[in-house]
Amino acid sequence: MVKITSKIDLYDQLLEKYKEIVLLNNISLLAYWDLETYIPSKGFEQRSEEVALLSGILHERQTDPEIGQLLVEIKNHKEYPNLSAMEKRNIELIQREYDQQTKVPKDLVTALAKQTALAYETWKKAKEESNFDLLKPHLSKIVDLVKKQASYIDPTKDPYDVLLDINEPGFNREIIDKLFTELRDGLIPIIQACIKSPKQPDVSILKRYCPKSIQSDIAHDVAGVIKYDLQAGRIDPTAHPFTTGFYDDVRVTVHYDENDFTNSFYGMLHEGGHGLYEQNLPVKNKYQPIGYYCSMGIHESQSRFIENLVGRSLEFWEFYLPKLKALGKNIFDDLDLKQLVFALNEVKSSKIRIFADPVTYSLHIIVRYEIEKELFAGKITVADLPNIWNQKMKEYLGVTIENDAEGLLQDSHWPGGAFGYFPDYALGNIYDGQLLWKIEQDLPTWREDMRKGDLSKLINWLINNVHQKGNLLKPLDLIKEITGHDLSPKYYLDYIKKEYAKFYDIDF
Amino acid sequence: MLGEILLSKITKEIDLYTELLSIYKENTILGNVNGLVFWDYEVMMPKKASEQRAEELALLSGLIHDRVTDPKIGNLLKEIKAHPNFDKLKDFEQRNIVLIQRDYDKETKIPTSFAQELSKHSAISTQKWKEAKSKADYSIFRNDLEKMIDLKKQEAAYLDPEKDPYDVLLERYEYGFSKAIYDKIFDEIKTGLIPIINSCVESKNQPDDSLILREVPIEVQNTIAHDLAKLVEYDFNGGRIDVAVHPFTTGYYDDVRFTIEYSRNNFTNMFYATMHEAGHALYDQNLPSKFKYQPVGSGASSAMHEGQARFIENIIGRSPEFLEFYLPHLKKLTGKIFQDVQPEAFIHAVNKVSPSKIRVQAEPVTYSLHIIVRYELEKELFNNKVTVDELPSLWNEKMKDYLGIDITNDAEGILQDTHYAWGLFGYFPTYALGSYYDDQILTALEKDIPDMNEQMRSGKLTNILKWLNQNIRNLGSLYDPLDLIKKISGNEFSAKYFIDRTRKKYSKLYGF
Repeated sequence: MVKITSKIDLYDQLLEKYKEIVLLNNISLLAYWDLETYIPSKGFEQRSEEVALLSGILHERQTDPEIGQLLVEIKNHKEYPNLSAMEKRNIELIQREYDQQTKVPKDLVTALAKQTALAYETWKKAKEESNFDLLKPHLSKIVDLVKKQASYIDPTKDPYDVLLDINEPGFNREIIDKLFTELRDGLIPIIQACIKSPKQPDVSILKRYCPKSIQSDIAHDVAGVIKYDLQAGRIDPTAHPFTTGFYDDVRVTVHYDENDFTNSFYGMLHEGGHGLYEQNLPVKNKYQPIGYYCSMGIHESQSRFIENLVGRSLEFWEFYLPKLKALGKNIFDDLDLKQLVFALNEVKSSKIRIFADPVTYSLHIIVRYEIEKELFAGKITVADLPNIWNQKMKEYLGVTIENDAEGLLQDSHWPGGAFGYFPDYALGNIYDGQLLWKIEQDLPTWREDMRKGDLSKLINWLINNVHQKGNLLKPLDLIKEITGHDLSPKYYLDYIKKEYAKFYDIDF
Repeated sequence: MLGEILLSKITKEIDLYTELLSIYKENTILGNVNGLVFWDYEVMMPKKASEQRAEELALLSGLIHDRVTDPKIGNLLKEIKAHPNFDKLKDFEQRNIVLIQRDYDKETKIPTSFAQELSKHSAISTQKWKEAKSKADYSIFRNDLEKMIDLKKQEAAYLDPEKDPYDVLLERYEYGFSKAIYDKIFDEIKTGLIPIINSCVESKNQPDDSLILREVPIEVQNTIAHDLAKLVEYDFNGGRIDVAVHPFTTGYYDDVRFTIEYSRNNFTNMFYATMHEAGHALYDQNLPSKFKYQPVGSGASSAMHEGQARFIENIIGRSPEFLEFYLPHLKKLTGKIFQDVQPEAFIHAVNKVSPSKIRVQAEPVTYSLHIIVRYELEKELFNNKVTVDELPSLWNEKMKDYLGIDITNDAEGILQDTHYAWGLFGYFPTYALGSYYDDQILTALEKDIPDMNEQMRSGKLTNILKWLNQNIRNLGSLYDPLDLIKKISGNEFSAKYFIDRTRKKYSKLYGF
């Protein structure tokens, strides 16, 4: 019998399918970017139809049964063990995404989408009226649906562990409990000492009028200082800052508040840190799963490194203050270096997460994590949330929450169904501390270099050690590979103690 | 009950027409996404991203191609047309079916492998054309051009093997047109236009166009562009103006954007690009929203679109009345630059007639002759009466005959446009039609608004723009272009209105 056969490379075929999904996703992201930046006011409805169609097509492709078949065929193939580690990692990551997309029944996906849309609208109203009761029934339903979703994705695991692992691969309650307990217990005394210190910053010096055009000049200038590549990106104004795109087209946005230049300045440094990560991913793996970033937490570490570890340091401002003065015409002439840096590093207990300083910020996250965990374990109910929230805020941050609007209604994450997501923000800080510990060994003069305005060695270190690794390793493995140690908050706590002891003149 | 078999069937009634239209809608939306991605490429995209973007665009056009050639569309069309209720569909519904069928035929009659060969060859020949143009050496491009012509003949045969290939291509770009029609119009144009051009050129009364070459700062030009766009009622809530190397308009209904370019030493580039692109944009912004996402909800044809652009640019923007109104505005916006300029001098300067070598730089009067040169050569090429080797010298001869111009090298002659490298034969004629449409449309407009010139003189454009909305833009593509022209003007399409108006306007300006 004659057979007409042809050899096809199953791995290539799978990766080709993946590439098309990535390209479609990029197009979709561009449509979002335009929606946030330059769309004319009447264009929203039309755009929402475009975005909906694109996400429909994207979903079809992501759940294409051919991907599932290819994965099975490849994994059962006799040559599978001979694939390189990188190739195997690509397959593992495609499998992970495919499972997340396909294991949840369509009915549940639709129900969740409807419920979160409804809850989001209700949340806006509840926040406005400061009335959690409005949101309560919706939130209970969402928690139930999210639990179900998690048990479809992995029925063998605890639902909250599943969610944590989706948001930060390799993580679970056990790991985070350990990290966050140590972090919390380390931070609280530091914060108390700062707050009680007789030496306090004068933050009023930061509040001064600065026109948008000058803030834009400053943002573009400081983008160059941190090596964000404007040939492969751009900076535009939006209400809420964000970063989108990858490799050769990574765009950031900032918010220009004419009465608070630090808003756009730190917005630029934060988003610029995200942007640097995306611009410096490994080109040879572009359009492959391993050519993406490692995790949300690692992403957040990159933005916070530039924003806080670089951008709030005395050494950075030694170099940058004269530039700020030059770009700001006469606006910043009276600023004194030490006063400015102290003001930029004020530690202060506050009620609202997004306005919190970098030190107290982690405690806001820990409050949310602890509550989510108990909620998913069934130890508390949705009705208990306000009390527990207010209690923890008092206990950890010493603030008294007067109403739900400034309490648990402040964020839209929960009505949006995003549980297990908050920890990423604090993990970013923990990662940074440990990366810094290694940088101080590898580049002992990095602070001296920064004083001269030379960030190239530091940025190259981040590129080589973090960005270029793409998604080759899970976050915990990446940190261990870079630093030689398991992840621990002690490095971050050491950094905080050292820095803030200087600012506040105290011994820890 | 033995022997009686109960067959239960699970059936569901589906509305075939609605299904077909929803497929069309999705394809339109994807086309809009494509437009946005292209706009971003031209206006916003960071430099390094072009390779990445090319991959995105390729994927998107593949996706669109798969969808518009989906056999499901063909099946639905067949089922709908064979359905007993087909005749009971409303006129606009039947028209939707006709238009979807036309698109589907265009897309599917050409085999995919052939389409790929064609696009591959156009990429190659574009490269060769660029090289040939930069070296002014036609021989570099010659072989690829010849191959392109063969491919286009083959393409025409796929589309309609019964018809003359060049007729097929002409109709492809403007429905209802053929050599027979173009021959008649272009003969009229040649006979009518050449003497007018000669009179202008020979007239002693020549404009001083140095005054439009005065330097105008870019920021001021930007203000003028926005001012002009507002004046012609371009809706900034449904669009925006940006800067790009080549002016273009893109978008659909509520989001129609256009771009312009600024040259410091000739503000009229910006001025007329703004009027022209705003004219395109106004068409798209004022299409019938009840037909949004349906075939009848798009523009009538590419020449009709061009006509709407030229209406704003030339009929309004170069009219003595509008210019008389606008000059004081211009003076106010530009400070001292044009203070000494008199209306007559200004009007004459922007209406200067002067034969030139390059089509894209030609003014509205001589422009048609550039098109006719191309049309006549293409026609003969496809009739095999002319060979590829004869093209350059024939081109130069015709340019001498019609425009009195000496072409000294092929870069400024046959190689000036990229169209042939892309395989766009039969496309140039549509560029000329827009102006002819305009002047015929104008005969109806002047009947309805007899004092339109006076209105323009006082800067009141609202009635004219409303008329264009009601008579053209709001009709979408309910009518084919020739039918639309007849419906509006009451007469068959003819070029005589264009010739008459041109003679009238320019004899006054040049005094003959």
